[in-house]
Amino acid sequence: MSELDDVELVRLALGGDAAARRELARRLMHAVAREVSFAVARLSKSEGRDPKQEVRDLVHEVLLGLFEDDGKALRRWDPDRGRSLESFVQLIARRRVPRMLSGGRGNPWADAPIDPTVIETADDADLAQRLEQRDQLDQVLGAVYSRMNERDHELFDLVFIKELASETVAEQMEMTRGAVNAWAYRVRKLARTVAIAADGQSDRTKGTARHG
Amino acid sequence: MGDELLEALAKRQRELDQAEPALAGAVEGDAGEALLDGLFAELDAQPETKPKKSKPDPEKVVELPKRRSPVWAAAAALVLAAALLLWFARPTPPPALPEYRALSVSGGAAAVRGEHDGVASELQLHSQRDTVRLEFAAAKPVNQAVRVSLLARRPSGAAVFAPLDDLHVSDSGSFRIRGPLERFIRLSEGQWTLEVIVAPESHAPESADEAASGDWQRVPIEVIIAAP
Repeated sequence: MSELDDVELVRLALGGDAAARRELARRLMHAVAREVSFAVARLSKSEGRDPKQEVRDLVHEVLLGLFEDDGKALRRWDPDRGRSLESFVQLIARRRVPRMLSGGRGNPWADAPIDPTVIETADDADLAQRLEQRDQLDQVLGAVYSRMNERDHELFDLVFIKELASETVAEQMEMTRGAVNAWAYRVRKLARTVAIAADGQSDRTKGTARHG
Repeated sequence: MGDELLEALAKRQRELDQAEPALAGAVEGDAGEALLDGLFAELDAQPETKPKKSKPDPEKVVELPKRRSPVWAAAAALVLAAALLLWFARPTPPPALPEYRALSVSGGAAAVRGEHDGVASELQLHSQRDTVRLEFAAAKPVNQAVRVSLLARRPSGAAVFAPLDDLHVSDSGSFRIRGPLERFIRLSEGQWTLEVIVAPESHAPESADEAASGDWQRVPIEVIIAAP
């Protein structure tokens, strides 16, 4: 479906056309389910619930958030910013689902206070390698996502996942290059803080298992 | 500061974007259609919270007074500024929240309906892993940030407190607590009175003692968790 069709579909759906609303929700349901599935697979492995039901519950929640308040969240989609409707909705789901999975309590280990010197001096390469070996990258991704706002998610996608040049990102996001670089510095620090906490948590768990 | 960590995280996200998630099929076919039925039933049952725009009544249009001289205007501005300074300098408690009520309470093996409004007031769960669906709305739109907390109390007096710091509260002030109970608060088997406490963000309970003793707005739900 072209972007023009999508714009019309959103307009009709939020304007009260019941058939358009259902069609839009059906399409978004699949985009959201994809995002939710990854989160459930990485975060709910050991909790012993039916993972398919968990996916359905979370998809329901995300869709409610998109359509309630007169579709306020959906109305923020602007195709002129270069993002498809599905991609826009997936970013929203990526941000909301880790919070939902933590029950609105955040992730306790990711909030542990960390000495700023440790954050400044940590070796990123070592840290990344350890997290990868322990299969913890998904967990850290989820925790980083849950601390980002909508704009952070968009920037993260453009700067680090799509690896666009900072000039292109600056133009697309209507920012200066300096502001993009400042944002990148801030998100590096956030990722490092969360990764160090995950790394420390894993060490403590191992210690408990050894001694307990 | 190096980029290796962010590069590793971004690489992982790119791998996920290419992968075919096994669980995405959970919304295929009838299961997906049933989800949409439930979604629209819930959306259509939500109370209208957006104030309707109405045209101004021409009979109620008030004529503004004519302009005063600049000296008077300056003096009035100074007096107003001084008054505002005094007003903001003194600590003021946040305005009271409108009344909250439960729109729906369900989950677990059984939900026992209340006497008056038809919303369940008691939940019987097999375990704290059972999914609960609690939905709350304010009687009027809420014009400030709110914080939701849970306080569970035993008849014996034991209490467990859990602030839900990241819970999404809509612009109108409504919120949902949906998912396995243990995700929000961890309770052992037996009988609990679970109080959902809603307070202004700047003036909310921080501990079980504060939550139990303060004059908070609370919606109680009886929860019975079966023995394993």
